[in-house]
Amino acid sequence: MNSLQLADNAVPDLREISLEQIVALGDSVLAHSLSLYSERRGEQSTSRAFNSSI
Amino acid sequence: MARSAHPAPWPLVSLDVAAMLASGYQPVPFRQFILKVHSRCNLSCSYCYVYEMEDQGWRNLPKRMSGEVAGTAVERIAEHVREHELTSIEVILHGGEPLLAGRDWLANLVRTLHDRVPARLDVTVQTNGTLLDPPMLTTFKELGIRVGVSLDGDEEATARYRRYADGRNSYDATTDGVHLLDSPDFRDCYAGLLCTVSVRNNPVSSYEALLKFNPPAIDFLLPHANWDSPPPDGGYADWLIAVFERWYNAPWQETSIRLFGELIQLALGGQSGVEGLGTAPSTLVVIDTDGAIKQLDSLSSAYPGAADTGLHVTTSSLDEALRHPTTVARQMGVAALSPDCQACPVLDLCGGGLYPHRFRHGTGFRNPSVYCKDLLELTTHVRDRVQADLRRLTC
Repeated sequence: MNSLQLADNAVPDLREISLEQIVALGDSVLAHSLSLYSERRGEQSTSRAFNSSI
Repeated sequence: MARSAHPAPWPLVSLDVAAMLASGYQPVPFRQFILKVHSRCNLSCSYCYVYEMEDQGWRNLPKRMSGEVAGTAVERIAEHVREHELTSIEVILHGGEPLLAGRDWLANLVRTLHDRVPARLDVTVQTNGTLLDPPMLTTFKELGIRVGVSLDGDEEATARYRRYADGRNSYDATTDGVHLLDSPDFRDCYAGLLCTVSVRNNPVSSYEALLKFNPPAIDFLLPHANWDSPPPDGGYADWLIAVFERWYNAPWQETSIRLFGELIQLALGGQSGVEGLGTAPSTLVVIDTDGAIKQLDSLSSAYPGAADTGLHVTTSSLDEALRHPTTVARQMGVAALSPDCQACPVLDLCGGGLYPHRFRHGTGFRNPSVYCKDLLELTTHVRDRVQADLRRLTC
């Protein structure tokens, strides 16, 4: 089963989610969030956004 | 912590940066450079932290950054990039109202940045939107400058705080600018909308009013407040949770909402990319209109001079600002937080809240956020909601 690439501190439930299950989430907020989580994995942890701008 | 005559003994008196450096502490290089290119604004928003709160230092600033200061600021940024071998940075053109600096002046600055800074450069401008017009946006498009606009919802919501000095509502002028940004010619420049929360506005109506402008992203900001100047109203968690539920339950993601998106990342066990959530080090520095190197300028809401470092681009490198106690406090993670925060079950999500919101005169910034109760409620709600959905998925 393909699954998300996880950080060591990922919540346990994430470890059991397959890519097929993520696809089934469609275009939802949760699907976008899981995709972003996967993209960011391994990046240096710094805050990148200035609160007073977008 | 005992009260002191100094407004912020922590970190400005009692954080021993020299000892930290001697014991191996390493600052994280700046990656976000906020240039306050114009110190004045054509609006007179009643909640503005620049003009309407404790620090009135803007009165002594030049209206527009001089060419000499701008050139020196660019060289300091380039120096910092070379020194730390940074491959990409972000420059945010800010104010006041940055578009008052003028199209040609801004274009010249951004061309100079591209010429001098040896890194990938993302440039954004945060504006009230009233001065956006096709020539301005054509220039921004040519230079790859992205535009964020501040807007608080519908016409009534915007009228509550965002007015001209003569009392006129800024809504029509702002939304003319936003419509231009959303047009096919300029959509690539559209970064999103920034909305300051007013609990007197209906949360869902405010969100849906913003959605009508098709923003690629929205963020909701808590009004700047602290323990000495607490927010006038309560109910921020309820307001934000109502918007969260409207956004999260939509059948497709209608836009990204930075506050909620970053909270979800933290709830998943990942990292936040925004100040004021999570405990990742802050990497932003401000260069003011007169060339002063400053901390995040929303510290102006705490007390006069709270954002000052005493450094200036003509005499100091940005590395010197990395060793300033406030910078260190904003980079040292959990150790910068109050004992209450360190023992809190949502510490990893909330991260103590936005630094200026922790201020209390006489103790400084090692306090929970003045929005602690709201942040606890919001972060718990988002975490529980996401984790419940994950559990359902895997059942």
